[in-house]
Amino acid sequence: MSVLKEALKNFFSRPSTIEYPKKAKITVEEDLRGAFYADLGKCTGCTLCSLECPAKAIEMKKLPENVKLKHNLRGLYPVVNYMACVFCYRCVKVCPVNAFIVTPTYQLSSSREISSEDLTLKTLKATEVKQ
Amino acid sequence: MEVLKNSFSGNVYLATIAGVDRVKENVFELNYFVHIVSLGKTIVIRTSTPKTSPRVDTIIDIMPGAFSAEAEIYDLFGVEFVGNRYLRRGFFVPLDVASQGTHPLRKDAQV
Amino acid sequence: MDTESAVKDATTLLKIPISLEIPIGPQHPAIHEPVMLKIYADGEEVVHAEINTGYNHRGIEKLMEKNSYYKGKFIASRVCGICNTVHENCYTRAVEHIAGLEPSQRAKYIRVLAMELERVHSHMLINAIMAEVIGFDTLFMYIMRDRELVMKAKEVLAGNRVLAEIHMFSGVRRDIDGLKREKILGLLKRLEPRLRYYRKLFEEDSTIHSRLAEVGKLKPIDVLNHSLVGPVLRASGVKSDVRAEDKHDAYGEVPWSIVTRPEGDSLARMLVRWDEALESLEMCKYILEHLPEGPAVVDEKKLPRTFPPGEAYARVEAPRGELVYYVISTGGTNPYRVKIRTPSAVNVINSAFSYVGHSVADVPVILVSYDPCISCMERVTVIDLKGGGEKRVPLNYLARRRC
Repeated sequence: MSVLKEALKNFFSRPSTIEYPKKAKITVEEDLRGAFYADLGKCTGCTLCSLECPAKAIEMKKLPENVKLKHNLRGLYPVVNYMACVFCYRCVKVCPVNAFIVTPTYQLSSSREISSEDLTLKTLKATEVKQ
Repeated sequence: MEVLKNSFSGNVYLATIAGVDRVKENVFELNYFVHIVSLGKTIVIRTSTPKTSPRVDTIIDIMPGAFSAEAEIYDLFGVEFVGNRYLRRGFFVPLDVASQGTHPLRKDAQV
Repeated sequence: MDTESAVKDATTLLKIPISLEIPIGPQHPAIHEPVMLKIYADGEEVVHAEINTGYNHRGIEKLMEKNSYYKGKFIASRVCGICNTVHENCYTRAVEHIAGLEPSQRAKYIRVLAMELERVHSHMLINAIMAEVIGFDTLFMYIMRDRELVMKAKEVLAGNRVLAEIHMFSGVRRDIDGLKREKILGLLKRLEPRLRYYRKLFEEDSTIHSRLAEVGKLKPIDVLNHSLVGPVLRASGVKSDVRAEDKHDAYGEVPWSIVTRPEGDSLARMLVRWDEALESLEMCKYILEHLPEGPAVVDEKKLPRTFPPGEAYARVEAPRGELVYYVISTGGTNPYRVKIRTPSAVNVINSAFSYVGHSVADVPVILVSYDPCISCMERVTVIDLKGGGEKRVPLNYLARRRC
């Protein structure tokens, strides 16, 4: 349709603004490079992801006191800071045991969501936590 | 350079001039990359200049396209091109670094 | 301090006693990044122009010497936002030459697909900006709306709309299956009639013709002497394209042809870009239908950590011109020297001669037709010297002034 005809048609129709986020429906692909977090059932604490990150966004923290894992002798697990992360997925691809779970979440703006600590700690199974 | 240009009847252009700081041999090496359009190939001409007094003749009178490359090398390395009167210190480097007199791409420069 | 030195500079350089220096200041809404063009104007005609750069210098060449080759690949992506795939491609091919790695056939085809999609969206962007600079805002909005189709195709292919980190040494990082292929083909089929319509519009519309034709005419010998590259070179009749000369990746097998025009003015440069965008669309469709079988994805855990000594010079055809990377390695995990020469650096800095003789309102048109990508290069500032003060004039203001 030519520019002139389309401009005239839009001139007489209602405004096309859609309120975000209540009424907007945005569909993204399932393999969009979104938020990701480590699975403690597989992570061995080798710190390779932290060394290879180009943005220095991964910090290794010690596991909480009452958790002892057989395959994680050093007791470290990675915590991602999404404010510094560039979502290049180098850590995901270079992990020797493929311990990262990926999601297409891209709306990360509250202070609770910018660190992956909660998501990672939820992957601990109940049997591994000593009381 | 003039011989090259005349031999191809003006169908060449200067791709870039790359400067390398060779610490071991203590020279600045300059690589002139020239692209020949009719053959479709690029050739490289290498020269070096000593680090103590880096001066090289300019080619801006035969090939005015070297202006940006020579200005960049003067600003970042400190190689002076004799005959080019458009060289300036604050061309690429921000003014607070340039006023200290450092040339950022040398290996011993702290930025 | 800046103002006084600028005034002193201008008054010492002033050869013509009555002349107005107009700065097209670093911050203006028409061009994405800051650039300073110093224009000396006598009345309405430009007599001399100078370009000042240096506002966006981010120290990338020094940064690459301190990081490993793998981190260098991610840094190379971020030199420019619009042409990030071609920066990655050039760096990857240079390092592959040093290390002796070779990508598979399917990986080469996927790389070419990513680069051609990027060429389409970059050409649409610069044409939209040209439409905005001459005042045709409606066309700008419509081209940007249709550009969203290309961004969605890039998201399907690579996982991200703008920064497609799809290259890795000796292959690619993601693969396409049948479902994604159908999606990308559907998006491209919707885009094609729009591209043809825009190209016809640029050729026939009288507003565009009156602003763009006969403005900034360049002769072929001038273009070669001043080392201007890319569509600027091809719009003056010189048949030179890196994709045809080096035949890297899969460009030797996909059928395409070089686009040239003999005139050499701004209208020819924009039409060359539309023709190239249509050629790229055809190439994308050909690649999607003729993908070879085989492995494409690289296992990143098995790549070497240190690289042997050597040097490599790689060229690639970015949407703006010829991009050059020169990598020197002396063994170890960090490169010794990486030299990047972006096409905008030569196109914008070396072209100060072409503004002379035109009126002031033509200056933004000529600048935008060279396709400045200042984050690849630097800024250009314009200094205004009337009355001893520095006045920053936005580019839009100059673009809409009529004599």
